[in-house]
Amino acid sequence: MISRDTRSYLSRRALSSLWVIPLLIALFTAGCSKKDEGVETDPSAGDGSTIDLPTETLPDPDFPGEGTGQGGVDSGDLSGDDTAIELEDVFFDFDKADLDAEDRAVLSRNSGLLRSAETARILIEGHCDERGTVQYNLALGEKRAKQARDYLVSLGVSAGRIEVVSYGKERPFANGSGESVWSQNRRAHFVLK
Amino acid sequence: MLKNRDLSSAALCVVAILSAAGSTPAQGEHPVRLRISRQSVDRVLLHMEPIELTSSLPDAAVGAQRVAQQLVTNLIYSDWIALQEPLPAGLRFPPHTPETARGRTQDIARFILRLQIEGEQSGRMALVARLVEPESRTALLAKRYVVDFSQPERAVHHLADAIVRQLSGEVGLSQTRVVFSRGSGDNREIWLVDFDGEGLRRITRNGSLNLLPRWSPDGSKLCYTSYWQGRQRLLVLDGSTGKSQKIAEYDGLNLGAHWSPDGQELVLTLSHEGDAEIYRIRPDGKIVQRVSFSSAIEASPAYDPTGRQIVYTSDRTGVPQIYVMDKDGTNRRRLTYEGKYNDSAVWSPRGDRIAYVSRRGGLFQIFTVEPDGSNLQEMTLPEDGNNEDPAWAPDGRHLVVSSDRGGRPQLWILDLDSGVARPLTDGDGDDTTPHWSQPAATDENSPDR
Repeated sequence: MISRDTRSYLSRRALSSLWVIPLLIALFTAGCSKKDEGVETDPSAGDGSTIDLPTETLPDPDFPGEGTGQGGVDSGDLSGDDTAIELEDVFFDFDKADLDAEDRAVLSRNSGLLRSAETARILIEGHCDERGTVQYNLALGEKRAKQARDYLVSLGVSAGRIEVVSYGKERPFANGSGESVWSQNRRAHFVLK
Repeated sequence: MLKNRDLSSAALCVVAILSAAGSTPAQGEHPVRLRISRQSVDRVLLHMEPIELTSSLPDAAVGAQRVAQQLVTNLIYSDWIALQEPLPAGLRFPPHTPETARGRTQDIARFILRLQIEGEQSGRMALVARLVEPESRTALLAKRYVVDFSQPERAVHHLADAIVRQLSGEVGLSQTRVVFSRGSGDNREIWLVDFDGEGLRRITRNGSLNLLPRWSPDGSKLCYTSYWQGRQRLLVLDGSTGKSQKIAEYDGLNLGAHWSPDGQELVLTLSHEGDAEIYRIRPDGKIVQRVSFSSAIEASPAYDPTGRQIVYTSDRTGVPQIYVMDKDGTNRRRLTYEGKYNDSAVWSPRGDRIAYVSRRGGLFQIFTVEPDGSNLQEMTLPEDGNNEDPAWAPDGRHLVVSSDRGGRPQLWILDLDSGVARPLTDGDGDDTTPHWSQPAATDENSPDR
């Protein structure tokens, strides 16, 4: 099974930092700030006459965009050659981060594989389904990933080999709605680093 | 000048009236819904005269039309102004104009709006606008702008705000912008859009997941949560250079920072000491104070407008609920007792209420509540789909939310007084986590004191 990250790496161009695309949208380039000296506004002079008005000073131009394509790919890299081992994901109940018996069995198998591939380093991603808010799901996703990590550590895997990241609901595995989709997305996903 | 609308709580009377939007319904366009929640908000009726155009330039008429149309749109969207029908030739009410914004021909306009445009040979234009009281023929307001014919937006926005300020005493929103996260595929970038929906532009381009952008109080910087280079960090984008810097990169979460109102610190969620907790940090990322300590998830912090309190989410009872505390972590009190999933609380700039999302019947709805927990009000309905990530406008009356009522997450602006809603973004991306800028520091937005 190709991990999601592999697929997305293959489809994403790395951005060179040398090629800058200016995002500025040119706004008023000329100054609008000159006031007509010595001419007073007389509001009571009424409508449409030729009384001169001082020219308005407009606020400073806009918020420019970020110009540099500052490097691109995220989610860790693909270095390391322990590609033989394939780690299984663990899945969670709605709004929960608890490991059930099946999850512990999966993690036990994963820890066995990690013991035999001694130099392998892994990233555990925590994910949620779409039915929560952005921030709480990011926190819950991290809790899920940390639960999986902590159990692996309790089985003897060195904590230094494991990194954790949460994607909340931002990178679902399956798109759409309904429990068959949601249950796929509530997971801790293992990536070889 | 109008009385300011009465903000004290009246008996909630919810009347839902469906009416057709004024323009051709686009795919997924939602009918305008009027919900009278406190009392009717009276719009000031203006009569707009045909534009006086003086120019020999070939495109002058088109340019003048554009200026006038954008002004019409901004005046209607302010929710303070109605325009008498018929509008001058070639001008249209914008999409989602509520019926209360269309003045009937037989009604009596309070003021006359007069525009004079002079095209100059250099491609610039002088725009003069007057608001005239019909009986006495005195000009309540007179403004002159000199702008580029092809880019009149700033002048139009400034003028619209001046008119709103003059007629309502309230801050105008036309010069404000909304920053947000737009997703496509696995990634999200930070984008910006003007109050009237124009000027949509991308402002990050780092090819990763970027979300939860928040303006600094002076509008010069944005902080945002970014996965650039593979880890979740807090970045700050400097508006004058366009460059971003890493501010916080603690282990784990560096999530959802808000600037304090005085700009001296930020509050955010970190988890490097175990689980998700709330911390105050300096703008250089150094921790000022950790302010939550339970083994539960604490997240989604936001300051009150004085900067003395923090509203946040904790799941210490088993599910996420909203709490308030003093910014040093003392005086904690629970705010929400209804609903089993409450998050994303934000405090109105007026200090009078807190907006948040509550999951009801599987859908997220927007609620407001007073800081003491009283006067709970539901601001969206089940047929509005999911409504998340509320952010207050500086007027404490409008909210921008991410809503999927049109089929996919899009930004919608809600007028909490009248119940009117309009889409702010166009449905071309998955738009979430918006934040509303402060008004420009101009004469038109300084308080009348």
